[in-house]
Amino acid sequence: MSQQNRATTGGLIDRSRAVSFQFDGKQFTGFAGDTLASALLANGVRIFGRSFKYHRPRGVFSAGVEEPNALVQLREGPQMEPNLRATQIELFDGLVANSQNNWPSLDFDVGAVNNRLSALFPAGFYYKTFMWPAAMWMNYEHVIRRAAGLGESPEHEDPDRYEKQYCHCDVLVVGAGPAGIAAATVAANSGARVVLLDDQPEIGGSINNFCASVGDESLRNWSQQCADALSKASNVTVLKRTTAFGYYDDNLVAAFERVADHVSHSEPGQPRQRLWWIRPRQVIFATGSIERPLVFGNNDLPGVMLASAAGTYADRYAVKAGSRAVVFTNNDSAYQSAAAMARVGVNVETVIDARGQGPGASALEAIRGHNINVLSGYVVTEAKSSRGTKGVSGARLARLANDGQSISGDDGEVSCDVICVSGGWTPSLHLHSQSQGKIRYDAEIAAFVPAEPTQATHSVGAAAGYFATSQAIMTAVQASSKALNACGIEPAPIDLPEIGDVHEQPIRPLWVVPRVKGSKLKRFVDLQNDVTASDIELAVREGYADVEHLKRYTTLGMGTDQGRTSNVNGLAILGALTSREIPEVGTTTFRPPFSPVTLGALAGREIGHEFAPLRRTPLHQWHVDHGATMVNVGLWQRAQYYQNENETMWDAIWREARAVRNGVGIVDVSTLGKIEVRGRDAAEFIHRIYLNRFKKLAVGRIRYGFMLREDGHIMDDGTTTHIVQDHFYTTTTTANAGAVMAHLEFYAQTVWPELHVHLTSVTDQWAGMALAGPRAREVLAAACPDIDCSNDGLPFMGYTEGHIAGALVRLFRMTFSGELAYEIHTASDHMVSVWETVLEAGKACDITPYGTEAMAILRIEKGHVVGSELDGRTVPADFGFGGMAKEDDFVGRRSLERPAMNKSRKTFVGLVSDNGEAIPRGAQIIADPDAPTPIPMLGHVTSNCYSPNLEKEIGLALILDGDNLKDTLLYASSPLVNKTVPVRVTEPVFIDPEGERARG
Amino acid sequence: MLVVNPDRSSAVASVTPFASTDAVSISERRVRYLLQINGAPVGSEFDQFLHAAGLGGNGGSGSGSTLVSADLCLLWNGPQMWFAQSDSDQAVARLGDTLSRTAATITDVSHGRTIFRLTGRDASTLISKGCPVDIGAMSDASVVSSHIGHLNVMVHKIDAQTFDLFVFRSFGQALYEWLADAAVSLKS
Repeated sequence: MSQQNRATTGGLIDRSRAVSFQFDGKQFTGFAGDTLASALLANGVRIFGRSFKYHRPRGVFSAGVEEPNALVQLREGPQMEPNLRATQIELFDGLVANSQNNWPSLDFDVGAVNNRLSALFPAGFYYKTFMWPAAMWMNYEHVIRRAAGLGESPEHEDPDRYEKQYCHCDVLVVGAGPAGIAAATVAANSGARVVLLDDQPEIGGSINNFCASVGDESLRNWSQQCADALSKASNVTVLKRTTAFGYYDDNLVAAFERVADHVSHSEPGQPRQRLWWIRPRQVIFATGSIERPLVFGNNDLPGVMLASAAGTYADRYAVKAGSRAVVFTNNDSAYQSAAAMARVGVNVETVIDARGQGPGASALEAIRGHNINVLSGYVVTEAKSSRGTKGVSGARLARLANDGQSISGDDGEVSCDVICVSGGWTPSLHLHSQSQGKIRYDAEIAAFVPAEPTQATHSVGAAAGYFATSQAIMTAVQASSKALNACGIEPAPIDLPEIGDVHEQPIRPLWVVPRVKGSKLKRFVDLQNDVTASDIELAVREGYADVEHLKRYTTLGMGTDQGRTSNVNGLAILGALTSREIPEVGTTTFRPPFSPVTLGALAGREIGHEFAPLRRTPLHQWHVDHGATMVNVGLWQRAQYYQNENETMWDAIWREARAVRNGVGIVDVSTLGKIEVRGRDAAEFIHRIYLNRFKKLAVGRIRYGFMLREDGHIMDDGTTTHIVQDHFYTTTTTANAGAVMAHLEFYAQTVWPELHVHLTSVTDQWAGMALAGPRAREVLAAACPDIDCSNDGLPFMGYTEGHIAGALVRLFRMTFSGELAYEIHTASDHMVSVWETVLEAGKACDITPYGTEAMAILRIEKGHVVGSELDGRTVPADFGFGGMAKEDDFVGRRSLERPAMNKSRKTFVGLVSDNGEAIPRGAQIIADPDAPTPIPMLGHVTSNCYSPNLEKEIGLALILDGDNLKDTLLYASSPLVNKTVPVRVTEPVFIDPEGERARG
Repeated sequence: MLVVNPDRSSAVASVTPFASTDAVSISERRVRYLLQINGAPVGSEFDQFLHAAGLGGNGGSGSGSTLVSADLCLLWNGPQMWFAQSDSDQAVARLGDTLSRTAATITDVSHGRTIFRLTGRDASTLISKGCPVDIGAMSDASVVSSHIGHLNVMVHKIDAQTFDLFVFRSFGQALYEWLADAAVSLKS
């Protein structure tokens, strides 16, 4: 086929650039400037896809974002994308598209049997049709789920790049039609920072769509001049191919730019799509309006399309939507489309005008000379098809009664292959409404229009219900001036085009054409979801008379088009059925996105290793260079274990754990949270924060403590060291560093502002390592000769300072493993040299670097609690620390005194596997696995491991009455892994319960 | 106690350096001293402090302001909170001496932050790919604490084409990689 429906002249296409493309495996040619829809129409393609439910053949219905029918699968392989509107896909060489929702082919679709079985698929059929026998539901569901949906998702990783960009401006203008151009030009000429965006590839909007309209030369010249000036202005950002899809609090507008969707491949390094977060001071919505269809029998046949679409295809693309057209309208705008079609050679037989008085003078002037009949007071009752249901072959007519509620007889058939419909215009007030802006029904134009906004918003032009171009431009100029004044910017004057007066006859609202007596033809309200007028009647009969209920019950207004062409007709029909006026019925809620946004654009570059930022200690590269397997601990990367050759993972972990118990090991603990607490009242502050006493902690001493939430549960544990007078150094767990800092700041700033205390996070300033094991003192003494490492010189829970490798180090004698241990903290930039010096000093002791796995084993062997135990539900007494609470006040004290915090609580115990099997992680503790269900659950396993030092499978648990169950045989049962292991209850400290090693 | 050792090591030593373009260049700066001042004096006491510290009369003292002398730069980072940045032992000593007569405290964070300097015509565009602040509306020699991507960052706008980004050292590589990746689409 060779573009047989393309006029030989005209249009905004570039005829010098032929473009080759493929649809459903067939090769076609179009021109640069075409959309996929215009190119297929030019090539005589009428069927673009199959409908969602009934699999009826569907043609293109619109020329823009509102398209309900012509959804296609674009591209192939990993770049394949479903459900794209053919009306918005710009043609590029090599484009490959396929139709959707059909098998085995678009022309012969087995699913079309649904149309014959449509009695089985009424509105809400899935709630009631396939319910019996109940046992069969799983089979029905399987089939229904397979049949649901439209296109196919790609199965491969997306190779394209997506980006995000923040943007700020004084005035954001959404929509670059005549109103948007005027608003942006006023703002730009006034020196404001302006962003103008539009979903089209060129500025102009309806001026481009009707670029051949007679008498609009002044408007076209003005538009071109403004577009040129805006594109060159340094204070203006013009975003083409960009859709504003969400309007959020504080004037935040989200927009979606299709940077490279119009070409076969993005340039190297360039994004395919970009998400814009625009924060303007003032927003002007010049989003235009969308034409409504008319609802009559078989109004979904290929060949039935919006009149504005047929006009756009004719003027902008020089494409004939058919050879013989009937225009069916209830307003004057369709006459312009009739004239446009006639100009490219379509035989526009008749305009069927539902209004008894016919059109206004301007509409008649538009069609003058094109030999077009006007039949006033008539309606199309049925789109006829002589070839099954695959396309329009005629339109049946009838006279409409004055009240619009009935038709009189049958006035014959007009032969045609296109029926262009216009039921009036619906302002695009989605963004205004998304921000909770009010809307009101304007009976004069039979449409909802924006009322009071809730944000700094101005709706102008057709988006505000001003459809005449001159009115649209004037409202835009006024709104832009108002917006500028609100920004404190003096508005500048602009040149305006000369536009003649328009003489119109008012619209005659017509929400559904009355049914011909005895006719059972489907009258579609929502083409995308196959919702008919009868479906709405059924929903009302079954009690779903609220507009929101109607939407959910029938799916009216759902899908990729979100009911842009169907919502108003649907709610008007609902109003008529329930004897309510349209304003009383209201609308469904407008929610973002206005049109679909890809997940790629929403994700941007936050994919792969950029999904979340990685946090690295100063030793990160050392760990990597020395064979560590790294593990994510929150955002931190930590060394999990260091695997030697010929060693399994567990060999390595157990080797490291044994080395600490028998010699000496060293581990990077830089991830611990660290907070400097300074000021005259620092001691008082810490004293109030912690459960235990700190006020009299001597300089050079360390104390372990619990801090509680206000509800009495443990928030975190850690140590605090008194460095010098009025200066403390608090460490937190790695996981809670940020939360603890915020907790302390909250109390310092808002609860006890009278205290002189300053908090600074120094987690990144100070890196740390723990040196642990019986030979730790030998190593420290060798590495740090300027301190006295003896038990007297640096006793347990003592602090001092020294130098290693010339760097200042903070030395803390404390233990996590239960062994003789020191934490060595040094400024981060010195960490590598200090670490390596300690390793060198430890060579004689065969010092072993160990990772988080060995560290976990060591602390379980010692019965130390971590996040697994401090899970937000535990209190100090659960771990035997009830006596730690001081008499003075502290955060959480009163909550601890509540009876429920002290009775029937689980207490902390150790577990030893009784049969040598590993204790299942997270298992429930039960007394009798053979008891009838539900089996009473006594508690749960919090931690478990194989202890290479004890050579046993051990665990820690919280169980009811744990103190009295020592030596009792219980069971750790995990349904998750279907495993039950007998366990004997022990003390939670498996190694050195007297603490002699740590103090030695 | 002020613990400062002037030795510095890069937070991004193991990363492939970003190849600078006409649009933007990225370099790491490790200044000798970064000090967190908390509880800085206000009102006339603050003016006296500025005078004593050699910073008098060259800037505001409110949100986002900076105060610069030949050897010391103060960056506002919260109510009564300033970041002091310097390569001069004398300037830091003078600062410590001046503040010791007030209720303020100084904490050394010289090792805890790294700084990336962005220069070039698209430096602000690069920042705006991840930072929600109106960078264009920031005056020269001003600071703002915000985020780039997921990372907390303090942005110091030196002039329209020069910015310093302060980030925790542990996130230095993550920010550097983020910036280098985001800069890919800036055209030379």
